[in-house]
Amino acid sequence: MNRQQFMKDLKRYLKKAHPQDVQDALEFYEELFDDAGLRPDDTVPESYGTPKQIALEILAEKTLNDDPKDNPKRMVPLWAIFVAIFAFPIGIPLIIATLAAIFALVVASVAVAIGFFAVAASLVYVMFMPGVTGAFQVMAIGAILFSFAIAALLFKLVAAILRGIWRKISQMILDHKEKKERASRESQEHDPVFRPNAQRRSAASQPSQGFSANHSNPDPEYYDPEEKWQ
Amino acid sequence: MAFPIQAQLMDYLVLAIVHRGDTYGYELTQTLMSLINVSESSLYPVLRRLKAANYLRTYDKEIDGRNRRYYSMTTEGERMLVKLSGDWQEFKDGIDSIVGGTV
Repeated sequence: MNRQQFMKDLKRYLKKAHPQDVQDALEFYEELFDDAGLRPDDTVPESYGTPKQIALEILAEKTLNDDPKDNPKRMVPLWAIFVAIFAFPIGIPLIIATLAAIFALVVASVAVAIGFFAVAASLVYVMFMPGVTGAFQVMAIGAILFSFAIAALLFKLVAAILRGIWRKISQMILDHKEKKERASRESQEHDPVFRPNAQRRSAASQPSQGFSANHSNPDPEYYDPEEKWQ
Repeated sequence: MAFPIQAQLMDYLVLAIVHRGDTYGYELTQTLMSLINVSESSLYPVLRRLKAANYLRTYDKEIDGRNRRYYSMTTEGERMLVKLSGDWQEFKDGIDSIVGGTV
């Protein structure tokens, strides 16, 4: 099997694994193959194992890893549920009222802005009516400019309010997503449970893994724990 | 003639190698395979488990335009290594005294 097929199969067998686990495993093997100088069309040596075997080991560990991650979800404190229930009849109308108030403010601002535009437009019309004197025309120009300025200001204000609300909402959504991701990442990294069983089973099923007898007399450079570790 | 290398022993070996200096997947496989009879396939589950148990942590470093994941020891990992080296010594002494006839 070549490298490309190997990676494709591994991804396929890991379909049901946690996305983070899939990414970690794929990255690990991509890096290993890169370092080993294995090109996409090169055959992956048998010593790397099969994608199925690798995936099964990951999935076997994952079922154990899933438990502590689900726990915090199930452990929503009782008081939080009560608060949520009691807040519901107040909270929902409050949200509706807030939204209505914002909507009213927006509509009112737009209406006033349009009103000022109308005043400006009518003054333009009045300015060119027969019998309107020069002094009044100058005053009208001033009033037109003033009305336009007020209208533009109001539009800007409305736009700023809407943009602010939008930003707040999208930030809330992003924060929620990030929090979720961080929680899943942390539960993976800080899982203190040590589980030798899964590996022991797979190691035992591979008779090729063993170490030769001369290691009962190990190289002190490599093994001496007193010198190096204490 | 080969003795199977069990999970605990793999953990001990990998922790011992990382203890000597931060290293990455390929280097780990090369070090292990040059000295004992293990295959590449056995490394990933070990690293995964050691990381999950918080004995190892990882960080990424860019090398030649691509990413390489390095493994380094945590305090818990150091503690585990000391414990495992004690266990190994005990095991080795037991075996040695039996085969050496000192019992």
